Amino acid sequence: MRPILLKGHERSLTQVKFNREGDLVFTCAKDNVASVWYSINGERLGTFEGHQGTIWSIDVDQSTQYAVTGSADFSIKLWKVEDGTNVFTWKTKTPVRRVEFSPAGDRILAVLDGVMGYAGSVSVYELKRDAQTQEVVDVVEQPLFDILTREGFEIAAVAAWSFGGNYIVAGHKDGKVSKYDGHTGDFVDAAELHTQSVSDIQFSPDGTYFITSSRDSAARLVDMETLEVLKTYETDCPLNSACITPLKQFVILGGGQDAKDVTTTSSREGKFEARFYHKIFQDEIGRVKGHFGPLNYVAVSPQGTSYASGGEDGFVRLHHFDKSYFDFKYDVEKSAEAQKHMQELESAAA
Amino acid sequence: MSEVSVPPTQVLENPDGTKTVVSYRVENGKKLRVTQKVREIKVTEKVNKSVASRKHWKKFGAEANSAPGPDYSTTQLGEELLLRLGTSWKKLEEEEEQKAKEAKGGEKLITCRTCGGNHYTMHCPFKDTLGDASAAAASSAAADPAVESEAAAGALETGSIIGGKYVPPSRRAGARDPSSNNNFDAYRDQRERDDAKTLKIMQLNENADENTLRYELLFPFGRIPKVVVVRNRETGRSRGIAYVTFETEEIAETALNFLNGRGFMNLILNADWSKPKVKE
Repeated sequence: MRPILLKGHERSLTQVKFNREGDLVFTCAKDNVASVWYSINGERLGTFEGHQGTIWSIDVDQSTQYAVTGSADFSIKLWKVEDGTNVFTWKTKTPVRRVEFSPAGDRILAVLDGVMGYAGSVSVYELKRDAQTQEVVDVVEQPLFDILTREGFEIAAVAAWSFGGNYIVAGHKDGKVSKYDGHTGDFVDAAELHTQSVSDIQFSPDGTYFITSSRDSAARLVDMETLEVLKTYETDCPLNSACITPLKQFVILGGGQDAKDVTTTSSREGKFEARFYHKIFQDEIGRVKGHFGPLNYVAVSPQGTSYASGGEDGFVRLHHFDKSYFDFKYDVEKSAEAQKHMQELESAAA
Repeated sequence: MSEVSVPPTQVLENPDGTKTVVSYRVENGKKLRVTQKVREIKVTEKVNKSVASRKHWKKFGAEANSAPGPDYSTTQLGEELLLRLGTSWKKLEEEEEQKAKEAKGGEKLITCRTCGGNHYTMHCPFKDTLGDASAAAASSAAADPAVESEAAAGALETGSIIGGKYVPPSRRAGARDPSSNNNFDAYRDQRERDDAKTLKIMQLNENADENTLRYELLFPFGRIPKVVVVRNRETGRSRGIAYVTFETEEIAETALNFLNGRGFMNLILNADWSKPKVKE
């Protein structure tokens, strides 16, 4: 496995995303420019220029026509992916920490920071699209609704859409995870899953369960309907991101010690590695080294054939898995397969 | 010339799926028959329509004026990584580390001049008993020039000071002169590839990358520490040459016999030592 290093950013990466077909990689960093790359060879297709501050988050819609970025300059920008033109800019009250398209691409959620007297919210903005071409024909400037931070909760750090855009799941700075109706913004449920800030929420490919990562060094696989913890992955360092791999039953966790402690320890002790855990057995099954700062985000392509990690060191490392990754199986999996094969043979003979 | 009639080209279908093309031409007044055996292979690659259309998008933003293909300033290939999946990966890694440590310890970073042990001379536990003996040997050597060479040889084992005089490493017995041309190892960079174990494989298919070579061509030869495909720096296209380093010279030799003249991905390979062997 030979990683491709993408060195397009001058400052630490904040988010890395694949599009639906996995052929493009979108990256944003603390410098003011977001980039889009071809995943096959790491060639940069272009940059989205226009923000005045750190871009905290980026997302791309299902048809790879539009990208959205949320920035610390109090704005959300909608871009055309094909030529990098800025289609629309929403002004917000506070910095935007996370943006995401709903699966249908007709709504955008934005996590607004709770600063300057604002309570912090998850706001949902609406787009009107042409039914045929999926082109955006109209943009609603005012948010559809704001989910203000509730009493007894700290502000939300991250949020994500569930299957079909039916629910919004938000991860809070105090480790709580809350669930809201995706159409009205009504509160549905909440659970205390972590003891420290939730740093990332990423959904499974089918949108029925998700993985949370937290600064308390644990990642949890959570059912979307019940908010019940299905699996827990314990590590030895604060986590910044976690994702669920399609194709294979793994999860990838990324993290490392706080950025402020990095200069005081060697990169070996910093634990700046992507960790692979088996999703079902919860064992750590491998690590990938390479970054010399904490991993701020890990993303896996929807095909499950490659993954990218963005680090505090300003690099994106794009890995295409090789054969050994796809061949790996637990002994129990192998024996189960052999048994199944034998049964098939027997039934064929009978 | 034109009066020499040329029979039309014949195409024969062979039972094994190949075609035999027999064509005639006239050259210098001689009629020549050319027989070619051709096998047609159709390679289909399925690409998503939208992905294919995105491949032709024009670059924009900071990349608006850049040439097609990855730009070396923003895109680089990292070092080869080994993702070893398994529940016992931690154990394996620890073992490897231990081995590396042992190998380092085997070189003996510190050597005692008195007893040759792995500690400083001043901390030698045999200082009192052995220290006098070596000093006596040195003094006796100085007194009797006839046994000097013998004493020097003895002193070599214990250290580099003969009769209280420092002898530079290049002057010591058994040292090689770095300025002479007949030893290549003297100032050799450890990172350089070991030509004794490295083959140069030419006439490779352009589509064969390192992984393809590893898994489809070189898998019978055990662990392959290094495969490098020579590429065009600008376009990243393979130039059809690869350097492959094997574990041992013997494996490299069997690989050479096996690979030279063998067909791989429709081309006949040409393998050779990466540098011609010096005849002894």
